[in-house]
Order: sequence, then C-alpha cells, then structure tokens
Amino acid sequence: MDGISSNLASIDYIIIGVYMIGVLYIGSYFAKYIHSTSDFFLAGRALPFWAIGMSIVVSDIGAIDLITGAGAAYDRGIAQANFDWIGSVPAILIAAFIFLPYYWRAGVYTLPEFLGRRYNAATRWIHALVLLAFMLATVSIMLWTSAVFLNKVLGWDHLTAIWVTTAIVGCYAISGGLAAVVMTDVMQLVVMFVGTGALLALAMWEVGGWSGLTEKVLAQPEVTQEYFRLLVEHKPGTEYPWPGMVFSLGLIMSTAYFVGNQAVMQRALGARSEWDAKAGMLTAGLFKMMIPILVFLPGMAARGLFPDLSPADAAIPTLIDRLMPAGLKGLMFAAFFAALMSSVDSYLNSCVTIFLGDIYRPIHKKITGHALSGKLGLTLGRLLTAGVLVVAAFYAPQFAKSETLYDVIQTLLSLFQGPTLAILLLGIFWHRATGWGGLAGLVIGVCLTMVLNILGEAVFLSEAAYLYVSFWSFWVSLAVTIAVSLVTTPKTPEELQGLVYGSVLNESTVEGPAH
Amino acid sequence: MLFTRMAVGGWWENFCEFICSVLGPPLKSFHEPIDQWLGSLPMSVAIACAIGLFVVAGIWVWTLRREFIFRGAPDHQWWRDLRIWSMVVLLPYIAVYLLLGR
Repeated sequence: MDGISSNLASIDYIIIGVYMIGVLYIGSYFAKYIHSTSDFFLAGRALPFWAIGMSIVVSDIGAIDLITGAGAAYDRGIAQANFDWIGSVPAILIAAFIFLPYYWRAGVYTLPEFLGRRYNAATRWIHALVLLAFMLATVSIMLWTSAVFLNKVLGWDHLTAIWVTTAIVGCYAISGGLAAVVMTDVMQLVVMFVGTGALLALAMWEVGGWSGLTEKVLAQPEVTQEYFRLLVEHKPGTEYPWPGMVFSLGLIMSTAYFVGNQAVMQRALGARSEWDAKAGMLTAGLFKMMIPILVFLPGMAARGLFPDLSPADAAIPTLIDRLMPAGLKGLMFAAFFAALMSSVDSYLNSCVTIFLGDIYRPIHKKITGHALSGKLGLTLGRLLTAGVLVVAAFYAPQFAKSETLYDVIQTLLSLFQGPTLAILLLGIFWHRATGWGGLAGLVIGVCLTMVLNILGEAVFLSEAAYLYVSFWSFWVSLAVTIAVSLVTTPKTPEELQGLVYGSVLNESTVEGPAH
Repeated sequence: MLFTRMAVGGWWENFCEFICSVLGPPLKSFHEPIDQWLGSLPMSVAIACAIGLFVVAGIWVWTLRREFIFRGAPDHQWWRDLRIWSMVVLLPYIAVYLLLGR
C-alpha cells in the first residue's frame, strides 16, 4: 500500500478540496432549518423516498467495505457479494412492510424505545447500552480505517488523520443533524458511485474483462472454481458455507440488521409519509445490487492483476495507485472519504439519538419531574455528538492490532442481532410475550453470543463463526422468551394497543406518527 | 476468534480456555452431525433455498392489502404500487443467483 501520495497531482488536490468545501457547505446550509430535537434527529419528518434510499445505502457502505470488503473479495471471491445481495433484499422487504409501519405508528425515535413500550424499561436500557457500545466501536473502527487510508494517500500520520476526519465530520453532523447527514449522503452516493465506477472500468479493462479475470485468477494454483460461485459448499475450511449465507445471513442477520440498525431505521422514520418510508427502503434495495459490482469486483480484478498482494486489504489502494490517472485519483479519494464520512456521521447521529432518547431522557424526567425541552434536547444532542466523536477518536488507535476489520464488525453485530430479532418478532406477533420474557430473552441471548464467539472454531466449521452465533442465539432467545413469558403475567390488550400485529396493520385510520 | 485475541489480561484468557474446555466438546458433538448432514446436501439444494427466499418474499408482498401498500401515498397511480417496486428490486437478485449460484 505504498507510494500513492507521491503520485497525487495538483488536480487531485483541487478535486479533494472542492469536495470537502461542498460537504461542509451542505452541512452548514441545513443548520438553519434545525429548531427542535425532531428536526435534528428525524429531519423534521420531511425526507423524500429517494433521499432515504440513497442515504441508507451510502451509510451502510462505508470505508470499511471499500477497503476490507474489497480485500475479502480479493481473498475469498464472489461469495463476499452475499453480504449485500442475499444479506439485503429479503430483509429490506421485511423491514419495509412489517417493522417500519410499527415504528412509524408508535412514533418512536429508536428501537430500544419501541422495546421499552412493548416489554419494559430494563429491556430498553440494556438494548440501548448494547447498541451504544456497538456504535461507538464502529465509529472508532471507521476513524481508524480513515487513518490507514489517509496515511497511504496523503502520507499523514495516523493520529493527524483521525483528528482531521473527526473535525470535518463533526462540523456538519453537529450543526445540521439528520437532514444534513442525509443530504450530504445523497451527494456522497453520487461521488462514491462515479469514483468506484471509474475504478471498476479501469480494473476490468486492464484485466481483460470477465473472461480475462476468470482466466487469470483460475491460473493461480491455490484458486478453484468456487472463487466465482456465490454459494459455496458446506465443508471444513470454507470461509462462507452456503447454509450460513442463506439461513443465517439471509434470514436472521440481515433482518436484524435492517430492522434493528438505528442508522437505517432513523432515515426511514424521518420520511414525510409512511409511503415514502417504505419506498425509501425499497430504493435502498435497488441500489444495494450495485455495491458488490462497484466495490467487490475491483477487489477480484486486483487478484487477477496483482496475485501476491499482502495484506489483501491493499487491493483497492493498489488499484488506485497503479491504474488511476491524475484527476481520477482525486475523485477516488473523494469517493473514499464520501463513504467514510457518510457512515461515521450516520452512526454518530444515531448513537446520540439513542443516548439522549433512551438513557438520558428517562433519567432527566425522573430527577426533574418534567420532560426534556426541545431546546435543551437540541443543545445536548449537539454536545453529545461532539463528545461521542471525541471518545471514538481517542479509542480508534486500539484497532490497529486487529487483523480483519470486516470480521470484527460482523462479530460485534453478532453480539446482539439474534436476540434482538427474536424479542422483536415475538413482541410484535405474540400477544402473550411479557416484559420479563423479553428481558430474559435479551440478556440470556447476549450472554450466549459471547460464549459462542469465544468457542468459535472449537465448535463451528467455518472461520466466520458469527454466521452461526447469530443463528443459534436467535433460536435460544426465542425459546427463552416464550418459556419465561408463559410463566409470567401478560400485558392487557389496552397496554398492547398499537404495538402488536393486528392493532397496527388493520388500523386504517392512523395516518402518521405520534410525534 | 476475536474474543480469544482480546488483550485484556490473563484472567480473560483463562476464562476463554475454561469455556472452551467445558462447553466446547458437548457443543461440538451437537453441531457435528448437523455439519455432516448439511455437507451431504447437493448444491442444487443451496441454490433452490437462496432463490426460494427471494421468490417467497415476492409472493408474500402480493398478499399485502392494497390499502396498506398505498398508505401515505399522494395518489394511487400504478407506479406508486410498492408491490411492483418489490418485483423490480427482486428480479435482478433472482437472476444473479441463477447465474452465479451454481
């Protein structure tokens, strides 16, 4: 990953500068429309479907995917695409047509808030704390990825790169809230698609098209036909065995991700109507088809062109260095930074939303006796955004020791995805699920995920143990929630109004959220 | 094995070793027959399962009530029908798994 910085031309720096100014301008432009917490966290509930769809995709595809996702594709082949294909679309439909209407009608800001209403305050708090820990770790990882890239592209030392990224992201995320985040996401998606599209075209041209790629890669002694198969046999030593991809990723992990990921749901909840929220999710599904083509295919092309790269994560930086002419390099840098910033700002905004809504707001009410005012909430939201970013920046260098950041993120997700989906499903579809049942399902499920992650390859066939962890923790949480619910007192039908199946989908008179 | 590589001190490593030695063998003997059975299935089953996910999702969407699909839409023009949108989203994925799954 050496040598890129020495090849950056003046035009590259101009493109990078123009991009940065554009992002900061959009962020500050939307600041004048922020007057309340609803404006800050849900964009005043005025987002159109196309902005939601584009924002979901660009928040989901971060710098981590551009670097480590492409690196994994270099190493493991096209099966990596499952994370964006089968790992997206059935889940997006489920999120759009089952879960979203519930959140929408309940008028909630966050998933823990929904769990709190359906189950109890303890479930809400524990889920909020787990989500916060995950989001904070994810922002730190993103900042570290940025540092690694900027170190290679501009020659900056890691710490400088982290703090410069922190300052730029902080500027518009703090001032503009969700509207700024979503509108810069729209611009960033365009930049990202153009940049990665140019890289894909150059890489595929250089490798001789699809036939040239297969020929060059299959000529390498350690590569088999499975490199070009989406579904791979279930056998020892396989990175992504098909049952894990279809049953765990396709059914459980992806559904839990799209219905439980605050960064995704918050965009949909900021929609101007329920139709826009659902249509936004579907638009995201359409764009997701393009991600493996734009991000992972260049990684595979790098395998054909540069078979001996080490580490594999050097695939994209090497392609940029060796193939891209002056001007396009600057564009690609902007694309990388677009991917990075869109993800960091999204997680940041969601992180603060959860902290303020699910942890601070109930404490404030208990201590002062009255609800948090909109003005104070807005000020706290901005202060917290800065605080979270600074904490994440301090923690970022800790990830220098990690070998594969893509697997780290997936492992962190596996700590709560299965249990979350289990209690969500039961909470919505089973009237008998009780507060104690949900709490037990969540706590025991999360503890189990930790134990299973420790066991890893000692029990599971694949190195990607997180595939199995999510699957088994889902079923165990489901069983625990049912068992405990059956021996505890259920909520009354009045308490469940608007929270369970039947009282929402069949309610045609309700037209909008409570807020 | 992210967790076993965490550098948080000797007690954590000891705890991980304890978990592996106590829970590893019984869970392995539980999971091994499942692995063997899944390993014996032909790849055509894998492709059918993957495509089946998309097909079932597509069929399910068409069972949703029209009123629910259009709720919040400014009008009921055919192009605002999210069931049609769902088909447009699903078809490329089905094609890709048919082509690259085998």
